[in-house]
Amino acid sequence: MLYRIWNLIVKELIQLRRDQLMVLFVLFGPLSEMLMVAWSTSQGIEHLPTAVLDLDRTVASRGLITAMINTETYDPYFVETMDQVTQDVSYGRALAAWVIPHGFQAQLNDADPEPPQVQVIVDGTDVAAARTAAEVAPGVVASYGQKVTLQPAQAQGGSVIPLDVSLRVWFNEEMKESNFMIPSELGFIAAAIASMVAAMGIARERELGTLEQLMVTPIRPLELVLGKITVALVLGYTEFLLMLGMVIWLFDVPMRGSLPLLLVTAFFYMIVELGWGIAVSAVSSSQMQALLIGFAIVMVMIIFCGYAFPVETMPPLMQAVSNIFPLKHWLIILRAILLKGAGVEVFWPQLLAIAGLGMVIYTGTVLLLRRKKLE
Amino acid sequence: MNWRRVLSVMRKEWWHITRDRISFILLLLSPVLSLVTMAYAFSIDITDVGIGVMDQDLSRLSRQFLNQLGSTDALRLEALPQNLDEVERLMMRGTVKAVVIIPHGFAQDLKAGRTAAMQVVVDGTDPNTAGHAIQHVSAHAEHFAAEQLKGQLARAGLPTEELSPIDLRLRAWYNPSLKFTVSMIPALVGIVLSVPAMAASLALAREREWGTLEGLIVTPIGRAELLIGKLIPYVLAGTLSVPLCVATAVYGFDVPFRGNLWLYLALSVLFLFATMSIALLLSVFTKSQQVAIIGSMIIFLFSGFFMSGLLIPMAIMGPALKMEGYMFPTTHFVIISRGIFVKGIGLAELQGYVVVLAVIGVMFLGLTALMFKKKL
Repeated sequence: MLYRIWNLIVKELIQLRRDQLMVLFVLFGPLSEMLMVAWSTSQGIEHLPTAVLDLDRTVASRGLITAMINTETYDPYFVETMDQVTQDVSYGRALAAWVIPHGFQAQLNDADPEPPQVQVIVDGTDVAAARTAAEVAPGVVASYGQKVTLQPAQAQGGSVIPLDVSLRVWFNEEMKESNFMIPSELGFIAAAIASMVAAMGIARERELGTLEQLMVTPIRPLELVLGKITVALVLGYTEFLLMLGMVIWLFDVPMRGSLPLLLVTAFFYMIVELGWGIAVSAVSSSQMQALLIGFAIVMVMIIFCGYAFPVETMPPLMQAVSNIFPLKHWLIILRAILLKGAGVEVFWPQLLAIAGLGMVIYTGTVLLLRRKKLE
Repeated sequence: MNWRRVLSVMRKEWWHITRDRISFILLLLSPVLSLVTMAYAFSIDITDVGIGVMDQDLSRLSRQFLNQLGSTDALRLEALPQNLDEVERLMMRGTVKAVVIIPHGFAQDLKAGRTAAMQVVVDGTDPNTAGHAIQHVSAHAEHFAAEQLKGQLARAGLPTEELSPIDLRLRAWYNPSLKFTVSMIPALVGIVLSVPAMAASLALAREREWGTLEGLIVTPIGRAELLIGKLIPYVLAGTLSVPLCVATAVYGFDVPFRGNLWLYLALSVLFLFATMSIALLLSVFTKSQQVAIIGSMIIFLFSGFFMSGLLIPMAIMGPALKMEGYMFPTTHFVIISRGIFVKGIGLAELQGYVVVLAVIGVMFLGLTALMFKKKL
């Protein structure tokens, strides 16, 4: 049996050597992908181009603008008219706008119960930027206003801050988006690419008519599956090691857990993850079909496995469904090892789940191939 | 250029696409299906984040604060840990995403008019969930603090209105309640419309893999004729799925469509043309369908997500990244699609992006024609 598998592996390797562009793409594609993610998520949402219309032009209005600049959320430039504001927002030149009305300082200092109005406009077309711009504004306005008006209370000796909330963030102290997205990438890309390779492996043989030749050899379905995944596994795991190196040394993502533990669990996970690739490959009749089915599955994985969106907030039904994907459990393990420094005692339920899924996927694929052989 | 020859290549390619019924249905529906999946994910707001409270004060005031925290949809009181070891265990497992620690003496300090301390520990692993927890816990703390301050001001004989001295009018244009779906779904159309391009990149690679390219080489067909004939059927298939995507967005997810539908359709075709010509150039260099697929996944899917301004606004990217982003057609289509859908703007505002899309399309098609040798 081992001999037959070995022969198949040699055949796959010869095929791979002929298609060197393939090796190049499989190895360097995900690396460049990770660079993209790392660069684009390493920066917080700040310095948003902001149009400022200051109709008051007083010490108070300038003070508010300075307070606004100090948050580093807005990158202000001045405009003269409201029309200009409207135009800039609709062309996308400004993502937010602050309008300080005439008489701002007078109303602020006056005991007049009518408070001055400040208008903040955000462009809702791009929600990620708009939400940040909208969340920061109330704090700026309130703290500036209170600084000006609560001075008398302070003078009387009362404490102006009744509650001091000190905030401590664990595991990802600076709440860097990149510490979340880069491990996601690490968990996902290598496996996704390796499974695409695997997915098209059997479909390719079928499309080119060479599966028939394989079927008449004494090789058994299980051996065929094992031979096919070995090459994908070697590629995928090399990829994982390359990416892990980049993650730790280039992107400064903390590695708090045990490295050997990570390497062992990653290997184990990758075998399981490749299983669904082979399963897709076994059901599809052409590479085009394998691609389209594989694409749909990858989409679902990105969305429902906690790759970018937290699983906990999904409706209960979707949470239950997400459990059938090994990726969901793996992302929990990966983040726990990297960021939390956790050990097996924390994530053994996830490990068990991956093992169980592996058994189901591989048994299913072998049974499927056996039936297809008879047809 | 002989259009009859182009037409016969088109017919052959169209026949290829439709012959395999499963692939054809998948090709037409997969843009819409992936749009639905992703749109669904964006329609879920973060709610019910599990938190814990470690109450060391055990006073009436601390209980009042605790009850307020647990009584919203945003946060769910999951555990009441007694000591820091327990806090750590809960956070490691991920059972709670934040723990509020109310120290001994909390109520006493508040009553005496001193600044009372409170600690919040947050799991930063997922910054989005962490941000949500921080935002809601501090909103509660601020509200609680404002109530205490009002009491103090009243004692000092000052009017309580002084607490909000400026009236902030916050307006979100085009998307008043800042819904994620309104902003994301039009942008996602740009991602899902690259599926036909991915399929097109298989088209040339397949001829080579099957050896049928040899048959084409001996025919009198020109390079440009062959390429255009290959490209048009996939543009057509993609065009068919545009109305489906728009209908899904408008009727399925309540995204407003404020612009001109015909303009949108025309610009979608231009976008399809631009992505296809990139896909064709890619398939010139590939020997097998596998390579073509992986290459186009990297170009369209991954860059589409991260470099196109879909998730991360282009405005915050550095100059080098911005330049790279603007090289992808998806970036321009994301702006066009959001503009027409949500802002209802027309050609006048969008002309710059339209020109770039056309240039990308023509440039890459020309490049493909140059690189593509009718040889083996």
